[in-house]
Amino acid sequence: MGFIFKRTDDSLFVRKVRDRDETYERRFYEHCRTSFERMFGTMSFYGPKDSDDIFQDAFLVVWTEIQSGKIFTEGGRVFRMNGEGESSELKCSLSTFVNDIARNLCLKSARHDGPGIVSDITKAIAIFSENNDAHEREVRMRVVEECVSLLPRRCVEILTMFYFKKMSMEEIASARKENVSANGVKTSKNKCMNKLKSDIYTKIGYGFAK
Amino acid sequence: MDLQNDRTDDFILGRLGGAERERFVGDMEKDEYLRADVALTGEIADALGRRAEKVEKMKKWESGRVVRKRLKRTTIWTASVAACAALLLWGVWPYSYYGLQDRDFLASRGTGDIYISLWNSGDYEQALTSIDSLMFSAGAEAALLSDKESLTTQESYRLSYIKLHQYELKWARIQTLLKMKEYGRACDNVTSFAKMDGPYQERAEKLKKKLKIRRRQ
Repeated sequence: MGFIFKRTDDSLFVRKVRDRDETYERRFYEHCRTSFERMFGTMSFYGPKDSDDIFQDAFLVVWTEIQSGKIFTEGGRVFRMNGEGESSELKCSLSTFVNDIARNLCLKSARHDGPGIVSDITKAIAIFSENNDAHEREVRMRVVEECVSLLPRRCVEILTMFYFKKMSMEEIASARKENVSANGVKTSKNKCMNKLKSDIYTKIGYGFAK
Repeated sequence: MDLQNDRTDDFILGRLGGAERERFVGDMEKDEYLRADVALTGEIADALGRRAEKVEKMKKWESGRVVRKRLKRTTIWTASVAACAALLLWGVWPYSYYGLQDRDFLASRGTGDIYISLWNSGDYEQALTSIDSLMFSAGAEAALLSDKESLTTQESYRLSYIKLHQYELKWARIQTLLKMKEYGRACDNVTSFAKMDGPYQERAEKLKKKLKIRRRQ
């Protein structure tokens, strides 16, 4: 089936996924998954579970970028907006792009990037101020989603359990089976949250800083 | 800092009680940084929720994909087995002696036919020799009668009987060759036999087709 989805059909995927067409979302997922599995065969140092996680994270990045409009289509071609708001045509297919992100996530994971802390978090908050401008709100939302999708997996899991599933620290500690106390989970959660806010500040600060 | 984070989290998650919530809202009104932090935390919580929903969708698609993959593999395997079985049946069946023999003819032979007892004892080579010698005798007698300028009524009947007997012997020869699994020779014999009018013509045609299929393989 892969040969059917040529580069030109990426624009159809982008349109349909942006419109949240579930049928095309699933097809896009399967298309990228197949392409990833072909690539993953060369990544022998990761186990099957790691490869599932890597693919999931990489696919989420692209999916989010399409839904937020960072990846868009025009005249049958696919474009991507960089951090400075400049658009350029995507030189590869979407599935290759997902694989590239997966490769970068592997490298990032191998470097063991830990959560960094911005010393002056108040500056970050000051930049991320209330703003009723619809365009800036959209930009902010996109940045937040991007930064969330690029967080280390452990952070995403803890923060999701806390904010989305509304679990307590004790519940999170026992669910994660890491032999960490509730206080340990709380410390991790705060570190992850600060790291996330710092990342958001770094991205949104550029072009918005005074 | 962590204390503020805790209060913000409690507010976002709706854990603050009446008075405490009002106090927090009052603090927000006075502190723009707190307002921004609450807004940012809320947007992060929403983004995490959207992400979690996407992850659930992906898990569902993945399990559907795995099931479809297994089903596809099973279907291909089953279809391959069925195709091999069909090929085997189509190819091997013509080879089977039991698909070729004329059981009615064999059942109708009386014990007076010499080659029958040889068949029953499994001595097909001898049975073939016996049939060939009977055919030779019949042929010789038929030739003698045919050379006569005129035949008596009895001689005419005799000639008709011999021709019928020759016809029967030819079919018996073919059946013997099948018992001996000499399919090539049987095919050659049946090809000419099928052109002759007689009670076994239809059966001979069918047998010819089966043996030709076997030959092509």
